[in-house]
Amino acid sequence: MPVMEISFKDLEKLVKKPLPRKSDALWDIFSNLKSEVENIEGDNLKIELTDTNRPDLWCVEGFARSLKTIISSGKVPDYYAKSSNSTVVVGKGINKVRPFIATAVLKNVKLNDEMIKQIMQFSERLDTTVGRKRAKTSIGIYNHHMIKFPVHYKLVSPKTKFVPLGFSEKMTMLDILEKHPKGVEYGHILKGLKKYPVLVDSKGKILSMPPIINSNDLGRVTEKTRELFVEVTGTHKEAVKYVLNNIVLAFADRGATVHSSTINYNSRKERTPDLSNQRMQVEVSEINRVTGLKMKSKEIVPLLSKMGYGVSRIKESFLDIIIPCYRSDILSEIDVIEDIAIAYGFNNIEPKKLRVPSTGEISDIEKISNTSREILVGAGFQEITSFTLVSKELLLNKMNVKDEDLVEVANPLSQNAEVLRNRILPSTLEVLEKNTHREYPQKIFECGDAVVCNKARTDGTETIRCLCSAIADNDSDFTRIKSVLDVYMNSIGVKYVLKPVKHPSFIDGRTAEIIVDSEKIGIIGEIHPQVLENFKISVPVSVFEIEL
Amino acid sequence: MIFQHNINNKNNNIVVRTIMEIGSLHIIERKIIKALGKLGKADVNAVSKETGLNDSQTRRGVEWLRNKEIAEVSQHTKEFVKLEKNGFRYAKEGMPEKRFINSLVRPLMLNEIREKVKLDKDELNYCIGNLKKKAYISFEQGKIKLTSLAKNFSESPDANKEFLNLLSKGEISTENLNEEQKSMIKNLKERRDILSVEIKTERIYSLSKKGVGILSELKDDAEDSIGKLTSEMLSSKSWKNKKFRSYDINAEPPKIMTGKKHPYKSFQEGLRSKLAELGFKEMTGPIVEHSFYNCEALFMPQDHPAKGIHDLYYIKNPKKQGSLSSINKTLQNVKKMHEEKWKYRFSEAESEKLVLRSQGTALSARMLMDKNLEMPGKYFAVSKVYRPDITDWKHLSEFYQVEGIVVDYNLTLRDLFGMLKLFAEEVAHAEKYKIVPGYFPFTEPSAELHCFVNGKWVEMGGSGIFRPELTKPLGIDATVIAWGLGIDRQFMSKKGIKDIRDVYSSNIDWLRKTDVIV
Repeated sequence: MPVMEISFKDLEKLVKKPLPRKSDALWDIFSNLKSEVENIEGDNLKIELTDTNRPDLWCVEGFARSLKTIISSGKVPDYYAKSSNSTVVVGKGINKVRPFIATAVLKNVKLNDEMIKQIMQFSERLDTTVGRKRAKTSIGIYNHHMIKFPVHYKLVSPKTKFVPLGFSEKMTMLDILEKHPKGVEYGHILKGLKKYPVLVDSKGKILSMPPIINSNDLGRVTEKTRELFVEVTGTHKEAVKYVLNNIVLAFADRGATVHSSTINYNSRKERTPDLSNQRMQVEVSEINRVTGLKMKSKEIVPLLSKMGYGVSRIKESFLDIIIPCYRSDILSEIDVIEDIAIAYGFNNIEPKKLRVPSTGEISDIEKISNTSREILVGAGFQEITSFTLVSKELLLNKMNVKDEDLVEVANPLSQNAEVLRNRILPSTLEVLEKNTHREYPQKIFECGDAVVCNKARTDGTETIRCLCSAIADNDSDFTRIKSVLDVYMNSIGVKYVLKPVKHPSFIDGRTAEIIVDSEKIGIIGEIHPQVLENFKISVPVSVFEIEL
Repeated sequence: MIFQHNINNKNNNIVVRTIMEIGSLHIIERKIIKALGKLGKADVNAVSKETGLNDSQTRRGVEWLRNKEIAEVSQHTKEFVKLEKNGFRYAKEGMPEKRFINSLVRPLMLNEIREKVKLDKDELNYCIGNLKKKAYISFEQGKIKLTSLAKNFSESPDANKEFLNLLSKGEISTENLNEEQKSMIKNLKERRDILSVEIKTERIYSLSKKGVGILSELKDDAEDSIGKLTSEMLSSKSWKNKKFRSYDINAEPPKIMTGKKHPYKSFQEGLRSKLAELGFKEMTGPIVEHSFYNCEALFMPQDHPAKGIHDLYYIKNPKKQGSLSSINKTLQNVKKMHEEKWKYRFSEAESEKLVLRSQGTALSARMLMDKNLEMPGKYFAVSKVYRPDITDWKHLSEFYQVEGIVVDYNLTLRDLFGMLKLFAEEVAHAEKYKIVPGYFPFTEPSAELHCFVNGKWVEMGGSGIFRPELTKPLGIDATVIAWGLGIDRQFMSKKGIKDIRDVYSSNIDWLRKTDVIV
């Protein structure tokens, strides 16, 4: 969730209205935009934006744009792009690498240091989220004056040289991928390509190497820059156009004029940015069905304007609405209905007692788990709980076990969490290991999940519920743990037999399989001294573990 | 009233109390009172000797008596002198300087002296320095010889040696030494390993005034009173005509280690019962899931960041990934919806990948696809979920989520808010609550529940109505309300836990001490 730091005064200037300085009062207003006040310090306002589908709010201009219609009855301006003669020619082969580009020219731009910083942060947020860390879209902003159009978006040899932003000497693109911090960070996107995409002007000056880095001369924007050329490249057409809209609107809200470009694909031409609004018909009955209200279409109109929508036709049963071009989050009617409900005010919607007749029930596995836990507590055992994602070392080496088919994750963050435990016992011994300095006897148990491989199932694995109980004490032995197993089995009314078995974690001759209805359900025995030594436990431990 | 028969009609409070106390005296206490009565003032050794108790019993007994103001303890610090390694040697062999002088029957080279008297380097240095200073010796042509003053010294008795001899029999309190001995200590203390002085605290016991009173009341037959009632006494009826010793009911009992549930598990158990009570049925499901149930079925696009390797654990073993052939029709519906709304090419293989469940909503997706889904129906799940996070005080790579669904035709936002109100009142026991717009990827509209509990606002959970793009491909034409509650946070605030790792604590001491009331 993005957190945005902005200036109170700046926000007030943009919405043309004073705002309360108290966080509770602000929360009430900001909640309409699903935003929360994180912190207020003087003029500094920190806002957490929880709606990850509304990147248009992630800059102060966009936030103010939507806030304005909520707190005063303003209208969203009609954004449009004047024409310009900037053209981008898309070269051969680009369609296989990073097929889409959308560009625009911004004039009458007035920048200061703070604004440059803010716009860089906004671009970064868009690159990271909508752009999926620049793989899907990435933004480039340039000094328009220095560019000789048409600009070519094409593929070039990796040996092509230019000076990347922040450097002073020419480097080959290959070198940039290896040495420039941005090249190291995003180079993987171009991995395996024989030629790299580049933006180059008619004089052969390189603008940038998307999606990695701008050049140091054309790609440098300062306070003095009055005209900008903005470009977004990517792999998803809608996303590319949407990101460009967000950037140009932020400048437009600051008084810049937007000028369109012509994108010349080989077979067709396209004008960007496309600032036209979407249209949608919303049924009044559907609005009332979702909200549980009984509103007439006329009552809905002011709610729509409050949320920035336009209304082009009002009928008794439906409304034709205009969706502003920055609202890419509107996938269907339901998204508009939510905005209507927010404008109506969640506090004004009266809760209705939930009357959905149903019989509640705890699952069978939890019922038997609860019963098991109660019996063991009654037998004087302390319940513990431990993690299911553990190390191989714990399940194998420390348990004296050679090899087992374990469920292993492909992207572990640490060796301590690389496999799912296939039984609880190793975790139980680990708990005893952590408690060796505490008072004995230690009688503990855990009732929890483990996961085993099971080729018979479509997902190849099976989650099992296990019960493991252990006595760690000077006179802990097979007999003592057997009496616990016995009282447990009697209490749940299950007959069992024990069959001697050899297991590397246990002492031979003091270990048995627990059999119920000729099926093996668990194991009981005294832990092998080698295993105790592995866990640095210096008292005997006897255990049983069963699958419930 | 219980003690009425003990007081022989004397309705005097003090007497009653004294008799009560006598009745409640332990056998150890009785022995000590008697011993102190005989000895007057005495230390622990003397009392133990008199009573036949061991020292620790005596100390404990005196402590009990002191608490009852029957015995008094006064502390004295005393200096004790005892010999060290060299002290023992000199006690036998004499002081080095004396031996040095006595060896000089004629002028000798230094190494000759060393041969003769077997002194080490330090001792030799001391002797030379000291004897020279006193002018008992002088150097002549590399040899050491006695001066005329030395005679007096060599003929005088070795007082130091005698004193050390005395100390070699055991440490002595400085109280028992004369002034000359005290000054010897001062000198010898400065020399290496001869003797040491230790300050010890001595505790002297005596009876208080009250104790003296009790002593006189302590009848001989009191030891005959009954302590622990035994089955043997019951069968032989020997308890008849005997008195029962009163116990000190305020004494600390020995700790017993009882079995207990884990506090967090208890908390979950309570929540399960509460939700079942409110008409919710529990859902269960596997920890290793197809990506489909965890992501795609929830209308999460396949390039969504939450599907990336930083937010979702993928499975390396078993190598063979899952199969969705049994639900192919639903898979195709979901695929179509994704491609239409998110505008990308949907990969079925990606959907079949195995992952560790990262959100409890996977269980709701399964339930909606289950042929046993009840309509209307209310469901919940307490599910373990996994996220690749480095464990610290705020993050765990596995934790629990509580969430569920309500399925019915004609459910509206008003029903959703009614359910949140129910949770605020019945589950969170909030003084007041607030419902504010929220964002959750699968629901639209979405709402957050904030509750005012224990004097502060806490975000209790989230909810919303599943998007039609989610429900339709799963074959659901009814409205589905989805909800989730943040239980870790609720539990932590209740228990005053700051570090999330402590929620899953396996510290046996903490578990033994912590209450399970939640």
